[in-house]
Amino acid sequence: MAIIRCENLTKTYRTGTITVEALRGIDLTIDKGEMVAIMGPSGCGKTTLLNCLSGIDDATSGKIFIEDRELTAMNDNEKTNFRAARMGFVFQFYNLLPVLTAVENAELPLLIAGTPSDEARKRALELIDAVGLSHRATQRPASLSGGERQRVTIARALANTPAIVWADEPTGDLDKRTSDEIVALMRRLNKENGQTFVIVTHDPEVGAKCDRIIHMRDGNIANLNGKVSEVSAEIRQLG
Amino acid sequence: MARLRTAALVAAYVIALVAALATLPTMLALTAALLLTILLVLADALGNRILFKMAVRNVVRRPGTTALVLAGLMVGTAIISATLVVGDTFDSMIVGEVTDAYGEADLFIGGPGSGDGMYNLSDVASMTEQLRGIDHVGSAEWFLRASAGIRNQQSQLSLPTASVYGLTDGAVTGLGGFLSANGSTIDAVPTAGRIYVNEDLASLLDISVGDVISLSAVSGSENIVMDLTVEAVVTDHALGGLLGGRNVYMDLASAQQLIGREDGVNALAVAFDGSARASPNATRNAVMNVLEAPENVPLELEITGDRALDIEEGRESVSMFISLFFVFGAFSIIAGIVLIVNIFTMLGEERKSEMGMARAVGMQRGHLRKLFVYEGFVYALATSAIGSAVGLVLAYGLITAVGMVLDMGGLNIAEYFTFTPESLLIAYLAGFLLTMVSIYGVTRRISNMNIVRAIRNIPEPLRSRGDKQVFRYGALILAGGAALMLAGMSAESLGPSLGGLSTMTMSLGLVLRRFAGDRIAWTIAGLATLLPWMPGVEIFPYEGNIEMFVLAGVFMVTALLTVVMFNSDPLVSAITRLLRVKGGYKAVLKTASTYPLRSKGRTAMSMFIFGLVIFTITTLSMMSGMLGAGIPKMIEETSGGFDIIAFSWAPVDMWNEINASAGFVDPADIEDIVQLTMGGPTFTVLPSMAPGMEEPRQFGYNAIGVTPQLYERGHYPLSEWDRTLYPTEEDVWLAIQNDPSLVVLDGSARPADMSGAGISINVGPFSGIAWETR
Ligand SMILES: Nc1ncnc2c1ncn2[C@@H]1O[C@H](COP(=O)(O)OP(=O)(O)OP(=O)(O)O)[C@@H](O)[C@H]1O
Ligand SMILES: [Mg+2]
Repeated sequence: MAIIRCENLTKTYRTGTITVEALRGIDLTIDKGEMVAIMGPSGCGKTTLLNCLSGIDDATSGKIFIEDRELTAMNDNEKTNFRAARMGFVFQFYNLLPVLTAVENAELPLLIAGTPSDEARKRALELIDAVGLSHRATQRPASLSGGERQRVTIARALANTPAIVWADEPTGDLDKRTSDEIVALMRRLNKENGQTFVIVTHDPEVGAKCDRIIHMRDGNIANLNGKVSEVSAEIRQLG
Repeated sequence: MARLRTAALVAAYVIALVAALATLPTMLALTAALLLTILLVLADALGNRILFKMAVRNVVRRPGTTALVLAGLMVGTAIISATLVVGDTFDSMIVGEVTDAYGEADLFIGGPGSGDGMYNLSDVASMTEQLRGIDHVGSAEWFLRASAGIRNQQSQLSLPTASVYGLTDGAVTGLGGFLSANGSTIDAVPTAGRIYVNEDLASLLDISVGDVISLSAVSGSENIVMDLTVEAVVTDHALGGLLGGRNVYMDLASAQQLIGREDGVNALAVAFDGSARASPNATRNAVMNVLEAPENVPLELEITGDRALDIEEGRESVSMFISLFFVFGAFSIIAGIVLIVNIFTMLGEERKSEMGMARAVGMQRGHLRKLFVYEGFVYALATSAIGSAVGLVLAYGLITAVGMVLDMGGLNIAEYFTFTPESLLIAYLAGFLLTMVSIYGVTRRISNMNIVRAIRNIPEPLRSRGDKQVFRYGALILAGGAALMLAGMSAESLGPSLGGLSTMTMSLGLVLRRFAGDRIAWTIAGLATLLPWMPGVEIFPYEGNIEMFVLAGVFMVTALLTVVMFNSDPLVSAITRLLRVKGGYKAVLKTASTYPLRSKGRTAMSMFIFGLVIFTITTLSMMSGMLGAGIPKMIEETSGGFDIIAFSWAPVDMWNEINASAGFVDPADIEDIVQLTMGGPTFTVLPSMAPGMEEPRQFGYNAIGVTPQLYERGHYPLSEWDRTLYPTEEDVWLAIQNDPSLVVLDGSARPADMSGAGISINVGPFSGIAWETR
């Protein structure tokens, strides 16, 4: 059953006199519970696609449906509330708010969504525990390592039991061992909770752990069910 | 749910606020408004605890930044508070001085009487009774005021004139009594042969209780001298400060004896009760009606002093100083607001990517705005309090400095330093409000950013040329400016007219960019705005006040900055070429100018602050230069070039006196001494002598016998004289030497109605009027 669907999605960036067509008419469906990797050479539009699908950026044209609700028809507050309730985010950098501790960061989406604070704290502590960071719960991000920060981010992304978790290069800044741990963690949570994961990555090993690889090239979909070997060859060549 | 809560909160706030403002007296209402606002924010924060927590942590995030923000936010409040406190002090000085001079009296009444201002008590008795019958008139008491020469027999010190008051017990109580120097109150007139003197006089003549004082006055052709014992030295407040002079108080009969006028009085003090003092118009009119009643018209009495009017006039006379202060205050406040905006824009920029992230995970725009409002709230609470206190200190420093620089006739404003809780509260409120409003303005921009651009920390693109919204805003501002200008023109008021015009020309930037692009549009707007403010350009033929200065500063700095900012690239390259910068230095200059030019908005704001500061300093130094040039000239004129001017009661040999007074002046330092004889007679000026004067009038003058030494050694510039008779000043001085019927009159003693051919006036003691008795 499709949880994410988009039709003829385009995105054009205009800066001064320069125009970049980052997405040139994407049609795409992702099923509930899938763990999908979006791969492709640098600049092909992966991040742009993820941002548009998750509603943190506006597409230039086309339609997006999440859980059968049309995202492209919502106003800013509706989109924001929808994100808060149904989506989780993991980016490569700058994920955490520096003034909040690990557990406070994790509980933030819950508090924004109006969950009572003791309930939110309980859930956040469970999640921090689930990502293996109980002993660092009251630290601020500045005193956490890169891997620890990404784990807190994942805990936060899962806090409101979202239907979809969007991850843009979640392991891009990590060494191989930590990266493996993070992907294994996501895979486990995906299996246990049946949540949908959409992961943008350059890393073939990350791609290999996913159910499916969406192969992008030049703002288009090259292959909706790509092969790790093909994509990595192309990335090596171009990017 | 959250929305409903907010709506309910705001509704409750508005209702409570309106109720408070409508029912409570001003000060309580303001306090209530402040407390309600604090409560509103706190109640709102309670529903957004995580935001409040983040805001508070943001406040203390980096001590350096926190200190900068605190200092910046404080400026505005401190200036407002200082302005208000300075105003309070001036007001207390004026009211204080007037109160001392009037005691409990609200009106002084006098008249020509039998030509010398004198009345027999019996003649004015019924009219006085009529006054006492008026509602809200507390008392009406006659007394006698005269001037006399005075000498303290103990200290041998003397003055040519002091004011002598002859009082009845009724007048003493009616005028508010005396306060003796040791703090007790005195409600009775001294017994015959005894006097009170006020501190002003006592300190001049070294008088202490028990001293014997000689008073000398002229009565007809006779010189009457009385020796009297000082019973008390009274403070210069209430009756002791009567009409602000060096005063001697005695019983009425003795005073009448001194001037040889049995039963004579010449001044009537009328005191109002409290309510009429606060709003004296009706009671004053009733008094006027009595004075103008047919049976009283022959007395020719008129109001000679009016407490309320004097206070009003005093306030007017310091309003120039206050408005000058207001101008610099306004500049500082505007600069302060720009600083607040700049600081919070900077904070916003700094936290851009984390705010973008917060937005991505579900924070609404409103949440971000709240985050900043809470942060601003915490800052505002603290800085407004500190700012009000700093303003108080600032005001104290200013007042002390003014007191040291300006000698207002022996009056030291520093003694009147005061502040009302109202002023501090208003300053606090204004600072709080300014901070919150400025911050709210900034948060709109921050919260409207694009999430992705925020996370990636890339600047928001400029509005494209074709942007219709910008054009519409421009058109709206243009229309607003036009409306303001038309309103100003119909009221013939310069501020709104020119302000409206400048708003219109500035809005051209927004309007024209659609057709001409940013650079050309804003250059046109800037230059067009600058034009009407150029010296010599007059567009509206109206009079402007000091607020024009503020408008000029703001518009000129804005316009100039606009032109510079939008032409920065050609300007930088022009400078580079002009300085023939080569190679490595070129790169340095390029880099140095690139950073400030990258975020033009912030750079423009910083430069705006500098611009205002420089504008203020320039005009301030110009004005002080103009003032400064006047002071030495004034000293030169009033001193006549002499270093010491001394008076003595007894004809003495000055050389001996100086040799005897060891340590005061070294005789070796004295080049020359000019001795003059001086007396304090009363002059009667007859109408035939003064064209334009209808009644003979009496004036107490110091008559100075001039010797050639005075004008040979010193120089007292004369202002006007008959130049056909006396070609030079020297001739005038010679003429009064040779012709006893000629005098030189001092400009400051000029009676107002003595004007006309042959008589002209100059300001400053000892500058002269040639006075022909022929
Ligand atoms: N804010 C922007 N303004 C202008 N052009 C942009 C912007 N963001 C992205 N682009 C352009 O759009 C295209 C797609 O960018 P995008 O970031 O989606 O690529 P990507 O596939 O994520 O690349 P990478 O693997 O390097 O992260 C690129 O050519 C990029 O230069
Ligand atoms: Mg990317």
